[in-house]
Amino acid sequence: MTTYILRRLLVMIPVLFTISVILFTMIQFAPGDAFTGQLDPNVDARYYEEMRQRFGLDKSPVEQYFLWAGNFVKGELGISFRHKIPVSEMISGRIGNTFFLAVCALILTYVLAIPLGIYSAQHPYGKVDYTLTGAAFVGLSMPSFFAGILLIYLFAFKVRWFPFSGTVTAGAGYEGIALWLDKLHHVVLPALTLAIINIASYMRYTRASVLEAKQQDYVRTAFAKGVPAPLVLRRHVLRNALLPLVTLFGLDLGLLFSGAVITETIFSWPGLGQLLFEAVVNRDYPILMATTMLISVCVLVGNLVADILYGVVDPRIRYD
Amino acid sequence: MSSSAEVILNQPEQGPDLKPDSKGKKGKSPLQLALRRFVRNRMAVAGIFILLAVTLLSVCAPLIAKHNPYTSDLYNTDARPDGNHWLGTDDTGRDAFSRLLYGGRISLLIGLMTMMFTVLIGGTLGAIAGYYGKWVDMIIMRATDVLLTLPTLLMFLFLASILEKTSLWVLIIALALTSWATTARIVRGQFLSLREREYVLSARAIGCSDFRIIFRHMIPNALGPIIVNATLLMAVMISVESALSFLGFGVPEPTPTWGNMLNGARNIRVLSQQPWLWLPPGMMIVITVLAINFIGDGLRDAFDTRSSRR
Repeated sequence: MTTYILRRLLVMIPVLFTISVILFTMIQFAPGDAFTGQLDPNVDARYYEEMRQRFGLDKSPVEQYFLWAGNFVKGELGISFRHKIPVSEMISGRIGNTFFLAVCALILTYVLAIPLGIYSAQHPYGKVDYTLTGAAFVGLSMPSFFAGILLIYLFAFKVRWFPFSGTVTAGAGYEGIALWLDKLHHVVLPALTLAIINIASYMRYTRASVLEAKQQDYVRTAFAKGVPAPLVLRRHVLRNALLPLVTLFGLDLGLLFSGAVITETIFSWPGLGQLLFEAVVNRDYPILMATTMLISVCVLVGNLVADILYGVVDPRIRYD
Repeated sequence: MSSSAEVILNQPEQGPDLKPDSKGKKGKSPLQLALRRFVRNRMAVAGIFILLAVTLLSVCAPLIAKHNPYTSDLYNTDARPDGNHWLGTDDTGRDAFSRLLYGGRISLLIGLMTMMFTVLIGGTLGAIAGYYGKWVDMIIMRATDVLLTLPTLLMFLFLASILEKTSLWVLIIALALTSWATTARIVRGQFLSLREREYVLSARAIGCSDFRIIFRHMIPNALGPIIVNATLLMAVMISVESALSFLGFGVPEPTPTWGNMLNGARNIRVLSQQPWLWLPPGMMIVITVLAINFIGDGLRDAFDTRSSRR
């Protein structure tokens, strides 16, 4: 097991290396750099030359790459072109928000999708089942940005239940529990937006999985020997049907971080996704490289976690 | 190659895909059987009709819409919906209903063309990887690893920050170049199993060229999963295009697309007070993607004879 994890971690290195080379090459093809866009006639041209030197933009592409890669390995992510502060500072200031949003989205997914999926499977082909299945199809077909603006329109403007941007009420100065309640109040809509596709797919998955488990011989046996129905559901059906869901968790890790670009942008949620989007708009390549690499690491680690959990859940799977 | 060899070669194509449940319907090709199963799927047929309706509305846009989708009317901006402008006008006085119909053309075109290019690239690379194996396979699979690690949208945003201006075709090519990995994996998986089938071995034994084996014998038998993947891919592409245009990195204005129309909703005033401007294009995206997904699911059930649904 340990060797398996180690090997998988080692395999990540060439993938990450390739990604960084591709991204870096793409940047080299970009016309101009971060300073050509903001040329100001009132500023001496020498200032821009100085800035280019300071950021190492006057060196050859290969030199620049190794400079960047060396620093990246050491954990130095460079300095933002636009904000002139270290990228690591910008990221650490925002990663908490992204994490909070992702955790809330995951909790929403589990709390909503699994019970609804089980209910659907317990009462298949009924009115509720059809409604839920239809809703799941719509949820899966709706681009998350449209879901987001629809939620804002309905719940922030029409009924005014939730705020439509930010993480806390500006200037309210809440502390302690009040602050957390305020945060939760703000996170509901973005978390729901981020979770909608997952809610729909988990619901479908749970329904199919429970329906399949109910047909198994061991369930019939359990009923035959007189086990009460709720106990059969809990001990025999759900235990087998829901375990595979654990593996989806790993795959979600990466998706939640990358999917948050759109959600965070719509809700002005100051997280990594919004940082990345601003970096795209401003052509702030140090930030762009760092956040993209970070998301790649998350996706890779998430995949690894999924594979490991797969083995934990299903001992028939061996790693060697 | 003599013609008699061709006859022999073409025989096995139809044989192996006849699955147990098709007994008693001999004489029909797997494709016909799949079609028959597909037509019985009500949701899938509904999907076809909805998609046809949306396509028809977009293609016949000039006949239905009274206004030019590009012409601004600066004396009549931000108008509410009325008998003349059915969905009102946007902030530069362009008729929203016309833009909705003409926008469908671009959105559907992007979905269709991107899907075709993606399947072409992914299919070819997947086929090569699965057929030749060894180091070719290794290289192509590592490439898919890289592409699958970077989410399409991210990759594309990165590209967009570098390309100075996107155009329709740059967008289509760029989308295809960043999203062929899944298709390649599916085709490769198919090819790995097909490669060992008797009819492929016999084709190779009588000296068919690789090209011929791949295109005449293997691709026709891998067509089911490819078609299903292509269909679902089109839905994804329409969705991705709208997301990119919404963020301002899609097809540049003033070209109408559903995503571009939704871009207006990034303005709080439009979002809160003029729902008739962004709700219809959003609904069109959802309806179209939903219809295509139904078709895709129907096709999957139709091709996958193991599934026991219905």
